[in-house]
Amino acid sequence: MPALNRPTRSLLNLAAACVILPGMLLPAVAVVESIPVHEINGCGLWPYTRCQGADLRHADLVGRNLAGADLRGANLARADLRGANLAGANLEGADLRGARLNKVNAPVAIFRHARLVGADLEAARLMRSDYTGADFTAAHLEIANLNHARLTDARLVSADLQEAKLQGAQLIGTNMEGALKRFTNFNDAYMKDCTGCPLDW
Amino acid sequence: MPARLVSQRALRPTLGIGLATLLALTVQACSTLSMAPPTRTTDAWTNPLRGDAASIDAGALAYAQSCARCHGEEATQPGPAANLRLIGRYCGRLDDPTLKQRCTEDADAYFLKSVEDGKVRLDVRHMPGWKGQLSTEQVWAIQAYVESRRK
Repeated sequence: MPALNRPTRSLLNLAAACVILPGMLLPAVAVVESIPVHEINGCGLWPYTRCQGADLRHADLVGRNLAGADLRGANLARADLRGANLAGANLEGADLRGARLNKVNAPVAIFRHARLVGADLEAARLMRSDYTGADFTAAHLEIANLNHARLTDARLVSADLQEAKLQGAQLIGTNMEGALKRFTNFNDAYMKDCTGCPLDW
Repeated sequence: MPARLVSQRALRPTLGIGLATLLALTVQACSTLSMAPPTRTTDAWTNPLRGDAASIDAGALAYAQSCARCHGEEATQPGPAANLRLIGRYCGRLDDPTLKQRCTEDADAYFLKSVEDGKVRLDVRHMPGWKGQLSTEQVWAIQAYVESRRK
């Protein structure tokens, strides 16, 4: 084998390092990524957590169990709560603008005066929850379950309610002008002083 | 008169330094306040009777009298109301002792508040408030008992 000159050897060593080093580093990177996050901005991410007024903007809360959490006045703008458990949680006055809440589980939760403008609540389980005075403008609520929910004075302007279930819901003073109501179930809903509610139920 | 003037002049730098220090401290306090997480409440409600054998026995009696009808006999049988053994169970998964303590405090606070205030949702009372009928010690004893029933 012919002897290699110094520049060629250096290049070969560099190439070898480029191949071997990433391989050595990969397990370490994998370990770092697997460390679970249990706290964001001082807010513990567990059931019954007391995070009143917490700053959780853009937080990744996918699949988190936050049942019974106290999130009153929390800022959850653009937070990702897909598949999270918010059963019985209190989100009164919370900011959920642009949040992703697809398939969220939030029965018997409190969302009074919460801001849900542009939020994605597709297939969310929201039955028997309290949305008094909440703002759902342009929110996506396709096939969401809002059975027996209280939507008194709530704003659902231009919301997508296709195939949503609103059976027995309270729609007193609700505004749903321009909302998409294709195959929405309004069976037994109470629509006193509702603007934009269907007249054929 | 001149002596007074001298003393006032001598005091001026001291006053200046004092005011500057006060201003600096105020600014620091304000910045500390703004940096502090606005999330945590200071209620440190931790069950002091957790794991205490005598309290668990007392809790068993109180549970049978006040809770079993809805939450299930001996805290293990199914009932129409929630399974109380699940409250705080998540905290056992946390490795960090500080986080575990905080998680337990949150669960304890939720337990105590739920028992004392009861559960009202959409004007429907699902559970009566037990404040005035059960003492705080009795509530902690009940929780200690419920936790002892976990498998």
